[in-house]
Amino acid sequence: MDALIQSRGLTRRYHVGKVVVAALSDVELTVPRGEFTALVGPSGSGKSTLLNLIGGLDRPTAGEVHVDDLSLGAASEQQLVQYRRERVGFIFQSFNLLPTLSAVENVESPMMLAEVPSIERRKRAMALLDSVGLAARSVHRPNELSGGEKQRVAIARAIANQPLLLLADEPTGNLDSKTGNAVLDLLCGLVKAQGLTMIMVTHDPEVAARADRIIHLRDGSIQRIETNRKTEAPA
Amino acid sequence: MTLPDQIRTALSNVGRRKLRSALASLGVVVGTLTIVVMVSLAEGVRQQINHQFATIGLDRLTVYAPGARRGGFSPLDLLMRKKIITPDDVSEWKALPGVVQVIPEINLPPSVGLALAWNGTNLPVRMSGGTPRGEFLFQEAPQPLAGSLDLPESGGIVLSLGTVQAAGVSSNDLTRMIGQTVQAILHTSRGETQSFNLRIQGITQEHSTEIQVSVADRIAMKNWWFNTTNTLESEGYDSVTIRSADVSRAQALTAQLRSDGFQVQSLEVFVEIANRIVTVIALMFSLIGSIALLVAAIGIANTMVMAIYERTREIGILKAMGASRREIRQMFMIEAGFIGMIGGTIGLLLGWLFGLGLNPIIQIILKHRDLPIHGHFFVVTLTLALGAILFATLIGLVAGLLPAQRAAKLDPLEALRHE
Repeated sequence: MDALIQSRGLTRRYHVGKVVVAALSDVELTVPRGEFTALVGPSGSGKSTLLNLIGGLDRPTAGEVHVDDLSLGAASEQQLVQYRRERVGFIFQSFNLLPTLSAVENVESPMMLAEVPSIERRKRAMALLDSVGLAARSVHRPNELSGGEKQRVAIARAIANQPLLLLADEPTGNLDSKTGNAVLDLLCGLVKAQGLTMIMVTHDPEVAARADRIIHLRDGSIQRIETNRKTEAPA
Repeated sequence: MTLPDQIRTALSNVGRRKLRSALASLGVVVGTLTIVVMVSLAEGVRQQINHQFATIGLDRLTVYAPGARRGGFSPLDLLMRKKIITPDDVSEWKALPGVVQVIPEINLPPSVGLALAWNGTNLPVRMSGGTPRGEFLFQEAPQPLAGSLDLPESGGIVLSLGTVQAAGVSSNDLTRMIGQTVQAILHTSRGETQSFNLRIQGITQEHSTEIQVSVADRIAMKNWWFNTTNTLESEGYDSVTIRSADVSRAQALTAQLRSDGFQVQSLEVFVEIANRIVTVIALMFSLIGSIALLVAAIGIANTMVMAIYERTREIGILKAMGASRREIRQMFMIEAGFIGMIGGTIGLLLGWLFGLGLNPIIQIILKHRDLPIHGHFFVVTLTLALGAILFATLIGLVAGLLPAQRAAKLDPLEALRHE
């Protein structure tokens, strides 16, 4: 099994006033390449913290997480910037599109950061919008799009720089179940077709049920891991 | 992110909040306007001064013998004077390259009484030098009413209209006067007199009772006065005015003649002093403009802080997508620079228009005061235009520095959580 992500003793503590809160303690985790992993657990269990650490948006207090041979805890600021730009795509619950840009410009924005020439990035952005079924809405601003449409634009944006890893934080959380399912279908289809590795934080057991592997978190630790619906002992 | 992309993004962000950007740049507009008006006025006045000096002869220099004082004529001067300006010197200077005209001057002592016996009158007159032009600043050269104002060295006299009228000659007969002979009578305080016959060369439009007499005649007068046969041999010329082809040639000549041991006076010094005064005044007023710009900088900084606060979440999104601190910082710096640049450009345009509008009014006032000065008093040079825009842009960049630094340092997670 080729592991894309490996963590050892991964710990993240926050200072809330004078109290130290452990959001994540001693997490040992292996995520194989090309798999869809769901992170589930109650609020405050450390799902988002784990996702942010893997995404290079946060740094561990102790322990280490390696993604594709890059140690995120030890990486320089510039290495993290490059990592986020080239290897990771984020999808958020609240879409987080840039409000002043049109759909196609939003999809272009990561490519702009990666300095893709403007003609090529427009061509690629249009193709990506087409692949999420929104070619006709390319000039619309986020406030002119429905929730489902926004999330599709966000998905197109997340895969614009052809990342290895897709990190989704409750991508269907703000959508009704029908739209949510459609978005999920789209995501799963893209992940399979492009051989992407995806980690998704979710509350919804139905959503989690579609994953190759479900990691249950509680109080900052892995409680159990289900693989193809077979329960494994915690690592 | 490439620089063109950063500029495009910054421009669209400035355009996004037009009113706020406009208000933020208003201070820059006022500051730049003040500076542009002041500096262009200084430049215009400086050009006017230079122009006025040039018309009266910036290209002209006056040479004196060493130790001589202008107009002075005491025995002490005679004793101290070792070197004189000889006719040989004059002919040598005439041969120098770039020399247009050499006018030697002989001055009579101020105690010499002079009268004009002509047309049955005995008219006391004053004698000025052989070169009527440039005696007073900002005065236009006198025009001939009849004949020519250029006196030949060999002999002749130029009269003013005032003298002619005082002698009872009708102004209709002026042309007829040219070529006629008048008697100039010199008299000492002891009552000795001597008369000199002079041919009328021309008549000026001036109303004073001044005459100009040729150098040869003045030498003859001086010989009589000091009772010598040739004052030129013992005393030399009192001064020599040299007109050169241009100002730079005049400067070279000044240096050369000074190293030869002569005293040289040119208007250059006056021009320099006048320019310095104008520059200092412009600088003082520009300082007021600079204070306006300082206030403007605070306004821009405030606008940027607000913009960054509002766009915190966007900054978080950009960081999650892989924007570096440097890119975020540059994005906001460019934005602030643009606000400064737009304000500077508008201020420059308004300042230029202000000058254009005010210039005719100044002309009217000058006309009412009988000052014959024409031309522009507000001159916006290319250096001023580019400098003003550049300075305003710089003000924007400096104002944006701290807010942009703050934006760059934002923690991406906290920024993403920002509502």
